[in-house]
Amino acid sequence: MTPEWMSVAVALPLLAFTLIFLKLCGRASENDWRRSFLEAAVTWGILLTTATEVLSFFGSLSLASVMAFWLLVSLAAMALFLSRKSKWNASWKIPEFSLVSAVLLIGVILIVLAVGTIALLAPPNNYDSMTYHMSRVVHWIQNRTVSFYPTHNIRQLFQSPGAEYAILHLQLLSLSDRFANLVQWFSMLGGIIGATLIAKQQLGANQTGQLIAAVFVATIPMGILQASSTQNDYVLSFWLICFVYFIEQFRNDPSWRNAISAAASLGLSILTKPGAYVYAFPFLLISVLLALAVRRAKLWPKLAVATAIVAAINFGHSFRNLDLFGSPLGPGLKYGYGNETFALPSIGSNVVRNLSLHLTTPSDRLNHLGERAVRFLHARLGVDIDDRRTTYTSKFYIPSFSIHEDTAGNPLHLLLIGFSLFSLVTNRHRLQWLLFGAAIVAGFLLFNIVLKWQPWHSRLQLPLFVLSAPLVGAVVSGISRWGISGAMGIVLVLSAIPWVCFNTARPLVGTESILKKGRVNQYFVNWPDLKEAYLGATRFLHSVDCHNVGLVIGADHYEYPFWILLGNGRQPIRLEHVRVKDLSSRISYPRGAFEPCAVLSNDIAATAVPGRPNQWKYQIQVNVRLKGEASEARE
Amino acid sequence: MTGGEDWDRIFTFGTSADVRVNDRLQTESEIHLGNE
Repeated sequence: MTPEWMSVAVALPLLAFTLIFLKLCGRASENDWRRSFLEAAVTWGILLTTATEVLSFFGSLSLASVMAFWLLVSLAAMALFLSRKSKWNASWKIPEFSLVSAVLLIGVILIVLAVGTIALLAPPNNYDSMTYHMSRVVHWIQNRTVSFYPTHNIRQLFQSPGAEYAILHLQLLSLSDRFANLVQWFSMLGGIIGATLIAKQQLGANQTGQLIAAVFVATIPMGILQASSTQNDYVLSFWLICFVYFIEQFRNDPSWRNAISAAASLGLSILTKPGAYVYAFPFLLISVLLALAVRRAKLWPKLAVATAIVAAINFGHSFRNLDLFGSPLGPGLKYGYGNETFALPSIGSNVVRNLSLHLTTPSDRLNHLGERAVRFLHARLGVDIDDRRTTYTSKFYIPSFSIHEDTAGNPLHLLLIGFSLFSLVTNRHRLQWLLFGAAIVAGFLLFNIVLKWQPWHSRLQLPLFVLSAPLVGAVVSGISRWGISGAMGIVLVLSAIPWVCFNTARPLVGTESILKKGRVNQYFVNWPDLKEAYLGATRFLHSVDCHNVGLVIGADHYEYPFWILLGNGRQPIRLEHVRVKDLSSRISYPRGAFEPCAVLSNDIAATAVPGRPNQWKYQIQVNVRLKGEASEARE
Repeated sequence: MTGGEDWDRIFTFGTSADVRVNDRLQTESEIHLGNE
């Protein structure tokens, strides 16, 4: 057993990032420190991905190897920082703020700190994390490789793994999942910093505009909720912010540094979530076409190298997907996510239905009116609102108002984006603003063209909201007086309080607060009925002499709590999926042959509740089958 | 590996009152008592 004190090693990746950041600040005499922050993050992401893939290839992902890696990176960054060539040119002059600006800045800082506290104190308990985000991480740790393995939940295999690579390193180094939520939280911080930089450098926003951009990002309801989770939409949002910054820099200054930084950000975005394709494409197209129009021939070598960088970052995961599923994206859109018709009315239906997800209010009456309006529009368009070709669930419905990370809408923010885009159309503005607005709209349209509607799409649209922040900041501060911008900022900060304090999955205050509730209970917050069965089965397993446990669970059932309750991977218990019937059954166990002495299986029967659509009554059982010596030990 | 089919004993845990799957089953409460 590894001693607990070793968990201080979790500070090493942060130390490495800080030293890289300071080194870049030192050389960036002409630049804002925020650029150095983004460059340091992208460098860190590339190092993380490279280390994960290389160590994984040799089956050497372990506490020792990962610790040695980050120690070496930190030492190298320290040596570079202290080298003679490095001159400390960064300016740390604190800008002057008006009273309202200072209030807004403090508001942003308080939101970030409060969400960070939740991220640090609460265990990962997001639904998708319990089924695959966190489960794949513990399988990787057990297997010492990110290679595919037999599983009942193939999302553990084909889904983009970038965010989980970061969690993997923190989990290995800390010997626990106590820092897992910080990956999304750090992405929120980076998203805020990057949005203000884009507002300033690309869109020419003044201090007010940059501050509004920061407030806009920090107060996105879905962002606040997700930033303390182990989902990956904020991680994608952050890498996209980096990409948009560097690709727009590349358009104006097509240097190797900007080309490589843009390519690395895009590669990391794609490695995190396929949504990167739809959101990044319009920005990529606009910037590359404009850059080529000016400097035609000189750019091709850089574009070729950039393409190679994007491909190299994604090579490992794409290759594994290609090998098992026959496509670099895995089952991808065939998994049921992709639209099956591209007729204009159908795309229009998706646009209306996706926008409607953000318009829920605490008033049921208003929500009912909203849903009626959406249905009326569909009737007028002559489109079936429940068309299975464009609808992931069996029926369309607008989730009721919630403070939940899967369904919360962003009504105020959507209105502000709408206002900013509308003002671009109705007033004369800079070309840069128009192009930026066009890229946001194009990203949203692509999203509607590619993906079937889901009631959980508000979550997947988080990157669009974060990317819109610089535009909102620039436009609002550009066309309104400071008093109006300041008042709007204060309204946004105040409106964020419920989402910070009453996150349904991880509330900060109240009787169910994370400060009061036990850690084990918190894992089951999104499906509390499972707890007793899981606790009973795992306690029982601890009482028998069996260290090879097979797992038979449904494709969307909780797996991760089994690992936690069986010892968080620190007990000498090996857990593998058995009796797998999907495509992954072809794969051999990366750790070698497996013969279980016990098998855990979920038996979860769902019955529809009469008269209550979308509600199910579950009968939950966990079976433990024992054989041989394990069974005798129980006698 | 298939998980094997010749299982000697099956134990069931759950929130439902009716969770028996075979006659040799112990109930959840019995197991808790046994462990304690």
